[in-house]
Amino acid sequence: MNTKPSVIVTAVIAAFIFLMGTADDVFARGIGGGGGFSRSGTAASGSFSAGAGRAQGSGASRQAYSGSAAQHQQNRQQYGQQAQQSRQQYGQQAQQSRQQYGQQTQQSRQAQQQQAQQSRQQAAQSYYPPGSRPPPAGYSYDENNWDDGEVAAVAVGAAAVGAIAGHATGESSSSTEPSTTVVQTAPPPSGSASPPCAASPTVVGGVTYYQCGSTWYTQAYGSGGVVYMPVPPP
Amino acid sequence: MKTTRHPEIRMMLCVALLAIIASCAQEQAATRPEPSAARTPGTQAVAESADARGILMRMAEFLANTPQYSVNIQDNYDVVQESGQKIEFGERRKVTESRPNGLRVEAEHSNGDKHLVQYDGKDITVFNPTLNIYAQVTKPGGIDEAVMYFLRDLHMRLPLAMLLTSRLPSELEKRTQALDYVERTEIQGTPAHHLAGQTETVDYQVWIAEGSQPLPLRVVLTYKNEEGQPQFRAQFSDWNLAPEINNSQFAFTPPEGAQKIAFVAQLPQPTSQGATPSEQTGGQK
Repeated sequence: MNTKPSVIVTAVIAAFIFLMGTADDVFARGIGGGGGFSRSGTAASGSFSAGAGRAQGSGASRQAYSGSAAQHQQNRQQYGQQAQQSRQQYGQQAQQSRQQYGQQTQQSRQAQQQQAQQSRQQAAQSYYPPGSRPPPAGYSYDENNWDDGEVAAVAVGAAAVGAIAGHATGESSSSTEPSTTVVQTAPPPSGSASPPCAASPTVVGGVTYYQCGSTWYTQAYGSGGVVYMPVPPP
Repeated sequence: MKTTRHPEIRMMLCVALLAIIASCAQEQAATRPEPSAARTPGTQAVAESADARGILMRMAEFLANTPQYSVNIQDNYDVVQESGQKIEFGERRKVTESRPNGLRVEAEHSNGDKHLVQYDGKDITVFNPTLNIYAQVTKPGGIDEAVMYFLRDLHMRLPLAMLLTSRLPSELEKRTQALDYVERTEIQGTPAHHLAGQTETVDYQVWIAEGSQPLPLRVVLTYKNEEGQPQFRAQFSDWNLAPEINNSQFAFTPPEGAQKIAFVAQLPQPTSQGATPSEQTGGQK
């Protein structure tokens, strides 16, 4: 009889500790803060076309250096190794399950896409009224996908360093012809929202650089906003 | 014994039964609607399809030929994470356009990030007011040229960019492979036509206002070939076809202390054996 209140108190404390741990886990998973989730993807483009074969939510973007992701990672580490291992096991199982499911659905989708393609071709023949011009066979991919934001740029010119210096120093915009500033032949990689390390800024030719180890970074405007990008040493 | 006594009677009964069954089947077939007639695209279906195309193209022509307008857009989009989980993000945008050279898009993302895109017929500028940082590039030639360059060459993001250009009718005509009239409905109290179209890579739905101003009220894009088939959903509101236009809305004047940087697409890629962009970066967009 005398021990009953202490048992109750013990149980309440244990439950409280358990709930605290659960809450930590919830925050560690980013549910509360929303950190660690990729914001980029095909649908973000709001385009009437989509580049073929582009993967969603790249692994690189999950390894973001952004502040929220870094905090998220710290929280996870604080929560404890046990929980981490548990999540890893769960993740591995879930990954295997998803891979199996993905393979099945991939095959199914390919079959559906072939059927849909045939169906669309038939529909297209009926959609375009007499006298109108249907899409020509072998029409340019770029022409129908210019708005997806991911189509490879045409390589024109190689005065890249000069171009970046010109932009950063605020030179007359008339001196920066667009045709000489686009230097990448593929969609540019996504950058990090914050510096990958606590580097001191170095200004060279009006451009601010940050050195982390042997890699130099500078800020640039990308599709997701201002990011830090690795560049050749100034 | 009984079964072998009157085989002819048994045979007659079977024949009669079969005749009755056949008669019933014929009668039922005669009273049932002709299935082929119901499924074959008849005059009504053809008219509906033609009407869908007409409604779509009227919208496209109307928007492409509207000299000035402003509109608010609330959009949401799915991002399929590496784990397979689908996460929705969103943004609010205010678009002001004055053809042929004035464009202003003010965007506020769901995480609070703000971006301003301006074009004045000469320069394309993107500005982050929080960081006081901007990037700018020269692209004369008008809104169409600038928007296409912005997306195709600079790889920047401008959702529903096609709707901003005068190419909208030809782009829709060229890309649409199938189109259907779904239903007549209402969007926020406005009577609207609901259309469903298909391009090679995107299934789209568009709700177009009835009446003399066939403006888009809602757009849903489904990326059908992508993992998880993510969607982009946009709701248009506050269409104003006679907004107060001031040229200063389109020309960028750097605030004091604003830092000018390059576009990512303009950066030279590291050629050393150091970290590649994919290894070192990957920030959120």
